[in-house]
Amino acid sequence: MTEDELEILEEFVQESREHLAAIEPDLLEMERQGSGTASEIVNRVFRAIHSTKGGAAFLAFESLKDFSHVMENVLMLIRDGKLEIRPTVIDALLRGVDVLRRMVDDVRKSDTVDCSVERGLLDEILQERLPKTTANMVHGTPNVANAFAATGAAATSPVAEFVVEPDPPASERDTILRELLAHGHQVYRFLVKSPAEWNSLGVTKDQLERSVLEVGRIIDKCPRGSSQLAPERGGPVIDWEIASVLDRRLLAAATGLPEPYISSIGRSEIDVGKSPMRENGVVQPVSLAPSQAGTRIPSPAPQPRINIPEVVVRHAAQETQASLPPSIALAKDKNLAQIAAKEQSNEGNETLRVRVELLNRLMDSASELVLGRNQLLRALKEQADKSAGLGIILQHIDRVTTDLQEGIMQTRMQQIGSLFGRFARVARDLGRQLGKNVELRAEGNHVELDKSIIEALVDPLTHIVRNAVDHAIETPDERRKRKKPEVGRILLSASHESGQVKIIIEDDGRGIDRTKVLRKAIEKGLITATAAEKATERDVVNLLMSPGFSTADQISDVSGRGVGMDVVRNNVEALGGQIEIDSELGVGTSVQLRLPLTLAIIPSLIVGAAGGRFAVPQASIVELVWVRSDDARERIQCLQGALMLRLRERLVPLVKVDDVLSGNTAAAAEQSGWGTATDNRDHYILLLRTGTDQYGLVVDELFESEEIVVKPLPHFLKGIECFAGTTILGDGSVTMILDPSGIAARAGLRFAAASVAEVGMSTMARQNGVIQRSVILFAGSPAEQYIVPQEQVLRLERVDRANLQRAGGKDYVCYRGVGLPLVRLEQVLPVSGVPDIAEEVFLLIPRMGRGRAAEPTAGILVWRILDALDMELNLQAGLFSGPGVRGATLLDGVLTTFIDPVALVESVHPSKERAA
Amino acid sequence: MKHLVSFRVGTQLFGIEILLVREIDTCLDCTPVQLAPSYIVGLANLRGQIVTLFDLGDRLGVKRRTERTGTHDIMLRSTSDLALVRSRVHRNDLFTCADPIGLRVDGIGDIVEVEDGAVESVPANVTGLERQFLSGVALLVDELLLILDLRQLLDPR
Repeated sequence: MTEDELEILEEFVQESREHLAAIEPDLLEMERQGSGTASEIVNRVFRAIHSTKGGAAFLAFESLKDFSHVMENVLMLIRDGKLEIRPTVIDALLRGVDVLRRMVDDVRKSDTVDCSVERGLLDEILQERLPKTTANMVHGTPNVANAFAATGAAATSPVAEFVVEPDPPASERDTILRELLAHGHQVYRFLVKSPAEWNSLGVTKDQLERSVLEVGRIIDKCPRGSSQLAPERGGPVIDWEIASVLDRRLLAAATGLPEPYISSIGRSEIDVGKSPMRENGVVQPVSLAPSQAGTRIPSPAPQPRINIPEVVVRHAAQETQASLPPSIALAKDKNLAQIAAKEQSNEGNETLRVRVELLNRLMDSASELVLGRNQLLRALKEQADKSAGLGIILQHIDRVTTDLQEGIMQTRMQQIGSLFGRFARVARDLGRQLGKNVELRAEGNHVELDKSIIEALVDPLTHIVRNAVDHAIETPDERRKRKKPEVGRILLSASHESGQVKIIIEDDGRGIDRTKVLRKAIEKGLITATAAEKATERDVVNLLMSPGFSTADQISDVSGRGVGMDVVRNNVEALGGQIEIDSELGVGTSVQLRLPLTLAIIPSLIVGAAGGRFAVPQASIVELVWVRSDDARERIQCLQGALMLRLRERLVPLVKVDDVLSGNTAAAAEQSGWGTATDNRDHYILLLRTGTDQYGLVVDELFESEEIVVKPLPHFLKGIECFAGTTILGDGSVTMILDPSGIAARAGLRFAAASVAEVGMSTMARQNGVIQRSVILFAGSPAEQYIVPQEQVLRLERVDRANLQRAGGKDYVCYRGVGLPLVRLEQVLPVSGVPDIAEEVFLLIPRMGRGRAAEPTAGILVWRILDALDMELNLQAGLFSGPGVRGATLLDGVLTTFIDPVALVESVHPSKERAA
Repeated sequence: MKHLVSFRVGTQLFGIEILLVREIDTCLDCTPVQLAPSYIVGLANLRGQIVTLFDLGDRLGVKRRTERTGTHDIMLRSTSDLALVRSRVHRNDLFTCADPIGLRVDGIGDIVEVEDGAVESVPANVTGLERQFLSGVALLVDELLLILDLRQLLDPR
């Protein structure tokens, strides 16, 4: 096979796949709408099958061609209203699509694909209708009386090319032409002028005609009366107008007529209506007998431009209207408008097919560029301050690089709709199989995700959807009894949420039965009976997602083989995502997935441990905890050789990077003297999330955050579960990326135990009446220090004093290009303010609203940020009171005022709701 | 006629076909990888590409020299690299792996020309770990040159 042929083949496979993928939702829609289905949808399906058939015929894939031909016949019956759309028909068509897909997937072996069953189904449907319709469907010649009536309908339907009409009457021919054009056909002219040339080609007219019909359609065998001159009288031997979806090169290859004899006729030049009878002003009935050169009604004298074979200037389409009967003109008008609209919309989404491989390479290069940029910025940081202009250049490079990288990432983004689309079919088929009525709806189809993530989501989502249909949705009877609508609903939705994509799969089924899950878990020895009594909601969900768990009473071929949610969870986590399950018994279940937009570049924190540096993906970091040496004894505890961190109301298992990577076991923890009297070090702990569990990863040092380009683990390191990949940092050194779940697995963490401990811990904490809070410690002036709850702080920013401005008696600060109102502590409270000499001050921006709506409304001016810490709050009345002051506490012997920053800001700038 | 890059691990002279070598660098900075097989020195950044560095001494079971003055890293061609070479020289017996690999050695020697007939099979008295990684032996004027078999050397088992 030559390279050209290979390319053609690949293109065909690619296109056919796309066609087939597009058909499925349309078929489902047809089933939904029933006999009232918009003809547009039926036509779309028809066209897709038709193109597949055309390509298959050209490439000589016989069974593929034959099978699509049968599909096409069924669709034609539907289109012509001769076949009622009912589930069995759609079933057969869907299964047919599957067969086509199988054939296309391994197209070279397509002839070996067994399609007898599906073929039988389709034939049965055809049998049922065919006897009555065969006559005028397949072999019949169109009768003209009908042709007029049908013009309108035909205008919106593609024409099957196996119905070989003799030269169609003018109006019909025009409609056909328009129609073919609208559906991507090209019009060509086959012109062989002299018999000598014709003979040298060594084909007969019959052969040529047959091969043309394989790949397209002959519109006219002697357009514009040119060829009423018989060859022997000096006219061309062949002068045919051909319509085909193939391009000129392919057409030449397919028909065996060399390219020089084929000229393509542009859209604007197409001679619609310039048919033989046009000159008479009325359309006349034409003889129905197959045309012979002599039987055509001659048009006026041959036009001289016939002799210019390549470019043929033809009349504009509009011309025809004047000459047509009003009714047809009207239909045509509508038709034209449709075509125009179609063309316009095509312009809007002009696309280009690009090889994924090339995109990947571009992406690699862009990633390298980002690295290079980072290195450059770092290397030139000092020089940039010294030499004027360099800073601006660097900034420019910085920006362009970012743009470029984002642009390239964008090219790999795909709408999630392409993924969601397939589940309607999955849910429907499975529902029918199980005797359930299921309707699957998808929302947020436009949300975009990296191609690789979309691909990796296929399996987990399929599993979740199948689970929902199989386990969650009840049978119609059961639903009726429960007074639920008979049709079970599954909702797939995607949305953006704080830089991630959130996918929710919701059903209104029976929900997760907690007792059933626990009973099963005890049976399978996943949990002890005593532990089960204390199990939290999270434990139940965890059990669901543990290996080897399945609650299905019967093993069906659908699910229940015990390979399930644990695989789903692993898959989702491998993508850097998280999975959560909420369920209410009898009401429904909601599975939530959170996923990064892209895999290639991830924000991560660089930490120091085990004598080196490592990258930890930010997505898995819940929070950073700094346990100061004084607190270490209380907060870090050693339980049976396992280290635990007391964090607020919980006990969190701790894992030391050093231990895991050096292969040490729990014994090492005891030797380390942690949590004992000799422990006098500061500890940095990353609270990591893996699935629904959390654990603390102990590191030696925290470095900066960096956007890293993830590179796969080299082959020789594949087996090391602790690493998710490698990357090159801004300074050029290679760093391993830690894999939170791999580390947990290697450290042998057992989370069920931890969460039970947590229950105990929380009661303990409550009894003591002590609440741990994460706070930010700052100084308002050299004399006064304050703490604010961390969750009430949106952002801390360093600002230049030069950015502080005063206008209209109010203070403002330039913040991200806007003037943000400034609150000075001394404005509100009886305290001294930030010293005037301080060049550099800080801005504390409170989180005024909830969630993403939290827009900065004002900033509090702060002298120094001192610390962020977890502390037990034992608040006493402070020395002074005022707006937002909640009390005071002693911190390292210094009286520290506890402030509610939101209340403080609102006392100066009342929020809109409150003001209202 | 084959051209071999010769190099020393410990005191022993080894050779590898020059077609398999992309470049030779002086000892690269590299990041050790915990839990990796002992014959992996670590990962190095070679102009944006992450290279896995093998400690050839450990892999072959040959004692490395202690002084580091002559230490070099021989960068092997990866599969895609080699594909280009293959088509040029019509050699299908060349083998490498898909990842970029570097071999850390104690010293680089000359490029040695060896007649095809001059390569003998590994003598029976060469035993131990290194034997499985050798494809043949060439007798030079005053010393034996052991020719490495990358197919074995780059097999992670």
